[in-house]
Amino acid sequence: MRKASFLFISLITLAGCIQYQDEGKLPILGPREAEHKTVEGKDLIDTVYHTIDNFQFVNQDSAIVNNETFKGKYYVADFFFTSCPTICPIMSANMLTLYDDFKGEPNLNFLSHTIDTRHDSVKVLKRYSTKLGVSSDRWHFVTGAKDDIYGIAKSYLVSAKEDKNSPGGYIHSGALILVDGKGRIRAYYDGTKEEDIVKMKRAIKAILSQ
Amino acid sequence: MMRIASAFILVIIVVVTGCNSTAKPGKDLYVKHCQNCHGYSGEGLKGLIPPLTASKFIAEHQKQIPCWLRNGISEELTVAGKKYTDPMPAMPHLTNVEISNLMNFVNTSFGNDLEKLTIKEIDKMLEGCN
Repeated sequence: MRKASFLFISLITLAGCIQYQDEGKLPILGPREAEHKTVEGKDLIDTVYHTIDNFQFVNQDSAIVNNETFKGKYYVADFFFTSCPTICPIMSANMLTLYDDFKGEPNLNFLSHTIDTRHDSVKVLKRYSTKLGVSSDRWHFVTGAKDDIYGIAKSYLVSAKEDKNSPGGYIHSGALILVDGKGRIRAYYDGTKEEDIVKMKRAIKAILSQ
Repeated sequence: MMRIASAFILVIIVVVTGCNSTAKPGKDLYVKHCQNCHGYSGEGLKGLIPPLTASKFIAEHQKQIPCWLRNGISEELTVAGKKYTDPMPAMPHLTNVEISNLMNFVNTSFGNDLEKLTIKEIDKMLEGCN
């Protein structure tokens, strides 16, 4: 009987370890292509992973933010708007707990794109970020040309569009997207669900400690 | 014996459901309409969304809150010493009963310990909205 309990506990511990390891090995998401190469006369097949398209936006401090800003760092991206009456506040609240929990971690940044480019000017974004108590050292709130923002949402493989029938006039994904230092999507989490945020924090801790 | 046991269980179920009937709808309405902004524990969101844990403010604005729920509010509010300028959207679809349930949930949650309001009182407050 004692042996059985020991075996049971061992199995649970092992299962826990496997889960922890898995979080440290996040998959690379999105479509991928095979690239044929000829190296020293040999035919080789290389996998080309989906990466975030080139972008250039302006943040709350009027600074340019582009792919280079996040090179070699992990970052969490989302799509929101400051006057959003539905899911945005809880997404911001959850992002804020990530921002606070990983304070002093220079390799994790945050990128929030407004999808209401008409209303959310640099000034409005500055006010919002100040009220949230965060700085552009680590958390960029960006705006840009409407088509560019909606275009980059497609590259993150999430939805963002105007919709007159939705509260606030826009419809958008509530996903928090984890992107690695090479611009590859590594995970999606539901920014409105506490249990997803717990999972996300564990995964980020694991990848940053590698 | 079996019959007595079944009747006893039925009575317990009825009593428990009855007890919950006033608290539950208020909480469900809070989760559906308010929690995304005001938070799971009524904590609000930093300088953007005021907390509902500010008992003094809640107590002093009992008459206005039903109107804010129905018509929204865009004027600046000072809650627990902090200024909040972002508007709260109107929820014209909420019925008087729903507003009453919401009010009473907030009045008795998040550290607030206020008297429950009757539907008649809520009706009167809503009639007096600007």
